[in-house]
Amino acid sequence: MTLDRRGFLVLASTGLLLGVAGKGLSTAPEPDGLVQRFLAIDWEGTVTVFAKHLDMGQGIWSGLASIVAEELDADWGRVRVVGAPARLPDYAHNAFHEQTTGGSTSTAQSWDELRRAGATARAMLVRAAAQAWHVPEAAVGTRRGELFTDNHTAGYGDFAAAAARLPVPADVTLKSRAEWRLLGGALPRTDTAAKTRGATVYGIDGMWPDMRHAIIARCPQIGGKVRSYDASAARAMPGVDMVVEVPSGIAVIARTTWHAIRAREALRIEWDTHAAETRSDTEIAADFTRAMAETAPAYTDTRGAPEAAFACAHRVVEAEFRFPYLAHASMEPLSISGRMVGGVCEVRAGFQSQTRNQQAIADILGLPLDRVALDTVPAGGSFGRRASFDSDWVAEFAHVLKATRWRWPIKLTRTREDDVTGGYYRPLMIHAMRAGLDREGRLIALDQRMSGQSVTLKAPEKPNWRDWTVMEGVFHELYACSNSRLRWWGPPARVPVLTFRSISNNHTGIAKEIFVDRLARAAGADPVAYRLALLGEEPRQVAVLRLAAEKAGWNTPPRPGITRGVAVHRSEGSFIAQVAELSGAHDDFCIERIVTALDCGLALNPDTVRAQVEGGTGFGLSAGLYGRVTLEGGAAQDGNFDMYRVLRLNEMPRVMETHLIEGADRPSGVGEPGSVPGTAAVVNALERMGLPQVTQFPVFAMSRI
Amino acid sequence: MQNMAVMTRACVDRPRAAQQDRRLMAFTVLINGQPRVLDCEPDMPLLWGLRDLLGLTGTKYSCGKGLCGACTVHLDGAAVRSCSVPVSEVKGAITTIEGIAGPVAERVLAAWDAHQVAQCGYCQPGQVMAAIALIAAGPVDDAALEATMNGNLCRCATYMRIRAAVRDAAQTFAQTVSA
Repeated sequence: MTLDRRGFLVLASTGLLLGVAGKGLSTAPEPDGLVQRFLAIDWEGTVTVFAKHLDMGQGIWSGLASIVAEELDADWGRVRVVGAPARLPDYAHNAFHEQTTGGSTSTAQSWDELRRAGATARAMLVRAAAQAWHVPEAAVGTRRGELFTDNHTAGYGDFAAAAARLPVPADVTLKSRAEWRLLGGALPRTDTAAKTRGATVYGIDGMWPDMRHAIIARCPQIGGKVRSYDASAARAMPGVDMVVEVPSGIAVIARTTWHAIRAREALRIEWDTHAAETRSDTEIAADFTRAMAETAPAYTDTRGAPEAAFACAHRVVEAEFRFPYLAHASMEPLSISGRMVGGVCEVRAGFQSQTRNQQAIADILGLPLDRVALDTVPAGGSFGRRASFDSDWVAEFAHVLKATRWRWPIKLTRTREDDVTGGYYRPLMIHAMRAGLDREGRLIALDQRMSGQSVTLKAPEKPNWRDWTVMEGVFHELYACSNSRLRWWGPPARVPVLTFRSISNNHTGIAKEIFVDRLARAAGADPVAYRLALLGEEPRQVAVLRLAAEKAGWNTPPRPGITRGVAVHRSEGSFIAQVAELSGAHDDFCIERIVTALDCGLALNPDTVRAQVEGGTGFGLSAGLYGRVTLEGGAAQDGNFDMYRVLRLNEMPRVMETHLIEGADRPSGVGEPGSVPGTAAVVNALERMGLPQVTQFPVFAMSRI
Repeated sequence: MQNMAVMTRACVDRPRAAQQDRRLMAFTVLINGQPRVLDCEPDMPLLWGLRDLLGLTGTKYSCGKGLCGACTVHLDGAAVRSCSVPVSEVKGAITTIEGIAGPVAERVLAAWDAHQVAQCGYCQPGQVMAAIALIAAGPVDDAALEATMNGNLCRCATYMRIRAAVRDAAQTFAQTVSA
């Protein structure tokens, strides 16, 4: 597992080992610390963890480090985390086989390898100390970054270099859970202090001497290209160094971001829109709805005999939901900086798909992969945007670097308007649902239709392929109904679409949970009891739903003026139920409390888990209540936060309580599940307060500010 | 020291830029207690002077229109959106996240740490600057907290903890003042 010298130098050349490797890198034949795939320990005892996943706010850098630190018996106060370089197979995702972050899988798929990494390094330190002290290894103990016997004490740094010269043990013993000191406890994140004090360097903060700032003018109509342009006025603007054409538009290179933004306004560009989207999002939605009536579905799954069951139904309930395009709109607009130095392209950003990002740059610049060094820094949010399968925002930067002949280091920034109007949205999706109930109100038939684009952006691998990026989380699959049919249509649109926090669950889960609530109302049943009856095959959903109901006092009436709504879901391997309590009227309400029960298996850091539930709930509410990208003539109209509305502090629930169930002995997803059920729970309460049945999202247009 | 536009020093190290724009001037602004010279046009927003000219990147760009609060700095102790203040109109001392100090700042930072507020963290310097100015200005009730902190967006929606941290910091500061 130890790196060979070349690997060590690669790490060093990417800047990873700054302050770790010590002096004389190029001449010293031996490192003066221990450097392995996932960690380094320097002579001072500082532990550096190499995180192969991107921290975009979910706390994964701390989480990964805590797994290493636990088995290493490290002093948490002396653990720091940096992004691992882009390199396969060392830093491949164990399920996706490339270096990437997504699906709330990072903790779960790193769990085994990072425990082993920490334990291996610890075993090597112990052996090195035992040899030096002439005692058996069993006599050497470890605690908080120290090695000790009855007669000795030393820091890890004292034996790091000696440990590095030892063979890597083939097998190591992992701690039992009773021996854990860090995991499961209240461990502060490693990045809190720096982020709070403005010291964290994000992609947008990259800086090198003589760096220039780039801004790109892109076609407002999504998919349009440059036909011709006149940059004479822009070139004459103050602070402008260069104007170049790149595939996505015209790039202005200037002294500061502001100079570039200002000069961009002086560009005169004629756009070629023959391949661009021309429709409004309303027209696209109508076309998607029409496709369900007029074309064959791309996917059909049928259980039992739904039509025969509908014929026997005492009552049929129908619903249609239209989910809009959504921009991720992370607080750090997409940005990336880089330079060419010594034949190596160094780039810095919050890279979420390092393997693809590195390949894209290498292809554009004509470089071998090992000459493209990615410095993955924390991202100021992503919510799926940085995971684009075609590396659009990274490729664009490589084109700018190429077009300027890498004369300067360059930082490419998107303005907020560029970020929101640039496409790569959560897909617009139509859900049409029909349920047949028997005389007692029980569900006996279901027909679920969906129409909208898939984020996989490619033809199905085989006919009737179940595209999980579209269908994960649907009613048809999560509630028991023996006569049920699911169909999906994927009609064409030229709006690029992309993963968005919780992928398809952010529409399938909401449609499911609002619809099931309406079925409960139609049946005159308690919404918790009605769901429980449909969750026979889902014991962990049953458990969280029961716990949330219990903790919210579901079986006792709420305070006067309070209306409750409930929702339950499973996604990313975890199970979550939420009860929302609302006061006021359906058009002027306050979310007084949200009680959550979450089963994410083993919660490594319960406080981080709660933070993800809280923040995820706010993120989901923002999308469901207020979020929409409006297209007119194929161009997004919502440039900034005045038009693209996102949740503010006063719209957050007054109180949130999160209760954890440990339903498994391994961790499962935490970053995404919290963003799904909140909207449904709130809408279910609002509809009980008299809100006309919701048919489209967001529930509220701009007016409710 | 207040906003001295020192015309004679303009453009000494940027002759090419000077040829391009005669309006390029050197503005001396007191930033974090130090006089700093910004060579720029009068209408350049303070945000870009801080970030791109001085390298004070703790002040964040996110909307550029005074809608999100990520670029909040203090002008003589009051919170202002640096994206919406031209360099030439800075009449007072600027404090950025890199330069905050004093009992209110200490309590706000301690509360932010204790509540583990930050997720992606990008908006947090602006949140902290808004909170410091709010608490320093006087007693904070929930209405004042919402009125002020509503101006600072957080896409990670860390609002529960922002609320808690502001309340905490305000309370501990009030206690020390009254003690």
